[in-house]
Amino acid sequence: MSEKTRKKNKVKISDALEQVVNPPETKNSDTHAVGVDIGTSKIVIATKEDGKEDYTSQLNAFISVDYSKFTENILKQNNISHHKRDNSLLVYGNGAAILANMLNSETRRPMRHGLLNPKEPNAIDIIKGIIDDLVPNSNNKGTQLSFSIPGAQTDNETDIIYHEAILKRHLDTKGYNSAGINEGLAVVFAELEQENFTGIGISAGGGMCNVCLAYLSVPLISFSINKGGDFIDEAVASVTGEVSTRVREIKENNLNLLQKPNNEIEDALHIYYDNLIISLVKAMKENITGKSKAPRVDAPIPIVLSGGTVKPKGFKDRFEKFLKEEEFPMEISNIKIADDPLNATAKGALIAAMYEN
Amino acid sequence: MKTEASNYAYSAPWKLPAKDYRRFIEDLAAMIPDPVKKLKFLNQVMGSYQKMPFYSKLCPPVAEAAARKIIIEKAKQYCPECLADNHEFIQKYGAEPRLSHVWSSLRQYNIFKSSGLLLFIWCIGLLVTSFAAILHSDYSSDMKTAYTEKGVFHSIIYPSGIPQGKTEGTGIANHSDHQNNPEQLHAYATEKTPDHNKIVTLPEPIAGMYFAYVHDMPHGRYQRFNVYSAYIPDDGVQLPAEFIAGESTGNKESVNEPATIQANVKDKKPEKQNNNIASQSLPASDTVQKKEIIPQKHFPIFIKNPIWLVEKTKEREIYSNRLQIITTHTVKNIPREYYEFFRNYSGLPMEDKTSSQIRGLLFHASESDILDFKPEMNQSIVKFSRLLIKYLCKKKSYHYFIDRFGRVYRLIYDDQAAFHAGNSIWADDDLIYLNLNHSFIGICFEGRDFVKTTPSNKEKTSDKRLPKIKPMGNSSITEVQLRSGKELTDWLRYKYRIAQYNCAPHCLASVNPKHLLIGYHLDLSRGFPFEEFGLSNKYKEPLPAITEFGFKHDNYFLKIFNGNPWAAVKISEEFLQNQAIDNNLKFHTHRKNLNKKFTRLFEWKKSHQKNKS
Repeated sequence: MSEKTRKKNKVKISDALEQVVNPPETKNSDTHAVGVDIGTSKIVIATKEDGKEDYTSQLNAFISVDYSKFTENILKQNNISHHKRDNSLLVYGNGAAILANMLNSETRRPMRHGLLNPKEPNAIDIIKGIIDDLVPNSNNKGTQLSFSIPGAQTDNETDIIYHEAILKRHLDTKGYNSAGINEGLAVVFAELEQENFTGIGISAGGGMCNVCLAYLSVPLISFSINKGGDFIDEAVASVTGEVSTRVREIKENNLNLLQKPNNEIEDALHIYYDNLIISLVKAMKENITGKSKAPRVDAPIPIVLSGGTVKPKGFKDRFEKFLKEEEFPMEISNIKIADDPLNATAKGALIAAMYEN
Repeated sequence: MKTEASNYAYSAPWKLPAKDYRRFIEDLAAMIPDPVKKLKFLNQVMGSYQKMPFYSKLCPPVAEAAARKIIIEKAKQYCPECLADNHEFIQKYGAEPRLSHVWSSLRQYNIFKSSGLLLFIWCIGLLVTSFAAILHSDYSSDMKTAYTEKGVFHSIIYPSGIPQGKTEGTGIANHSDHQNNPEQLHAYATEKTPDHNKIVTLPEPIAGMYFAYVHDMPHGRYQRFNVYSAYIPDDGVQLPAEFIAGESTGNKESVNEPATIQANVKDKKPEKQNNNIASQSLPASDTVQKKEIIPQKHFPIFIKNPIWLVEKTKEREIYSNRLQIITTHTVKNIPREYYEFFRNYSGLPMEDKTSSQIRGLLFHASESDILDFKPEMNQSIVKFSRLLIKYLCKKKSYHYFIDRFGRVYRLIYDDQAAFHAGNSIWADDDLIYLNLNHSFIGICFEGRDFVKTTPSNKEKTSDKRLPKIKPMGNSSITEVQLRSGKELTDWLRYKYRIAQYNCAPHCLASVNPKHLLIGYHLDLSRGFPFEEFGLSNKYKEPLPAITEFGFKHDNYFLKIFNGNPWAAVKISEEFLQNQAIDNNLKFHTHRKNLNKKFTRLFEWKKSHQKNKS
């Protein structure tokens, strides 16, 4: 970067930072249980106080800017989470997205496909930084904390062990007694209490889709597929020439899968959404028909969809359509979107943590 | 390779409990309001089940007793407060004292470690099962059915038939200690429970086998004895008069629906009744006369054969039993939410504890204007139906509507209430339902079975309160409507596990709460084809409004039916008399007490509904 550009950027950065919402205050709470959803695109923490669940989230992303004393001061003054590494500043959390927009560049992800990103050298530090911002140190030794981890794929089980161990070690140092919970199971815990925790929980997040079939709270089948919101963003960006951030913005704000697409980007979004849903349904069918331990259920079971990827209007209808076309091997009573799709996993993790308590 | 998460709180691979246990676990879990406690309960139960030694599972009865005990213990541990009110429910499910004692004592002394004893128990189990299978081919499945119906059925088996001149029969005893021992059983029946057991002298010796099951009604107000199956090979033998609603079958293979048997009251003179209930003027019902043996069809308590959604479009749903539901007219209404009045619990329900579970089906007739069912009237019939549907949707009256061509329309979503039976009472073994809008699904047949009457001047002068309606000769409900109704009923019963005794026509549930009278609405009050619907004949079974709350009927009601209403009315009145005798009360005092009970519950419900709204 030339000196001229850097100066220009400095101005922009300072402007941008004023807009950045201060990161949420770390709560020094005495809650006895904490649920954390460590997703590819967001980290959400759930606590329960006075009988009400409370959610706080940070973007699980970062952006690297050149180091200067001026920029660092601005970041500190605005309480922006950052980390100094060599000659650059790694800005992470919610501030990263706004900076990326201002600088017309892409945020980077410390996680990829639900796991620590092996291609990102700063991944662990960034994740730890975001977790430190969100999760307070525990005053009570042994406070239970459950954090979400993705379901296994055929080729990544060893990666999950590493991912889980790193997170657990860090959370334990904060005074918690932490344990991982499958993301799909967390969705079942959060949304299917009325059904006695029986049904299929699907968490369609940024990096992947996690599925768990639970029967009376017992996780019988859990798996994940390597497609999520990021896959759609990247694929659409690739075929349309737009940046992923812009595609994501359109996807999150304007997309309606029930209506005809209005432009090329929406058209591509429709195509890749369908592709994701078909992959998900096929994987569900294969996993359920392929497992001998799939229960012979007495009654139809429900499916709950959660996560940011299910938010566009019409997702449920498309999912239902493809599920029917695929001749799903189990009878489904109803398909519903979670009451709070973005926080369902964290809520389920919280219930699991309370259970462990 | 397993991750820690996939092993969350459990150790795979999992073996799920048998279907019946799972249902039991589900029912108990549903009572626990707190999600964390529910999760703990489920985890503990499922975990404990995994830890049960494999050899205990070799003998099914022992495994069953052990599993039930574990489940009950965990339920008590994690939600004692919410189970306190359901003591009877727990007892029903958990009461297998002898088996559970065997299990606990064996476990206590660690006898299971002895492989010899294990082998012995296993052999005994096999022997018992084989013996039962020889006696009755459906023995095991019958017991299973009995269990899933939430009833405790005790079996009494007569391996060598009923001896000549012996007095045996109805409902003999609810005591399984005397199983397989007719003499002890007979002694027990005559000595211990003379009031509740009808002793019948059979005219001829019955060679062969005889099965009887006694079903305890938990509230203790009256006991209803059920013959579960009877095999009488000699065609000439008649069953005694006390077999009121059910007749024995000559088919050894079939299993009958429990038939109601009336307790003997001849040896007890009822208190002289000075009240003027209209039932005193009822004609003698055929139910108290001797009946010939008529083969009775098997009415499944629950629909077991799966029915599934075959196809769903925006306009209709098609099911595997041919049922088609048109969904284009469906409208939204308020969600289901009702208080549960436990039948065995005289107190008021918990204020914060409501249910939304679908418990039954109520059949209605629209009682709307009906055109002749002829090809030339086609357009008009269609138009009438369309207008009626529009009206019903506006009023949110029923969940389902079946037009005259048998087309089924969903008018209100199943998980929402419809205003089809506000002033109605029904009851099953566990619960009493006041206002069935929220707890039952309303199915309306387009048709009518009453016509308006215009009394002549002479009649008007002779009796001012002449009925304004009279039953039609033939119901206007068509055959295709009934066929669709049956398909819809089967599907709903399968989907929501609705017991057959909770499927009734509106007329039997409808009441006038102000004057404590039954029969406020009278749709489908005659000729409902229960048997074709796979249901027992509710016209001949006790009416909860009478047996639970002492409701009466007036002369106006009798006049509509020309003095001959349903046999259920008389049976219910007789139940009331028995209850009064059992409680050493005068009949009218007993009825007053029941009326008071209703008023108390009704007022409470009304006030709480208002508070909620």
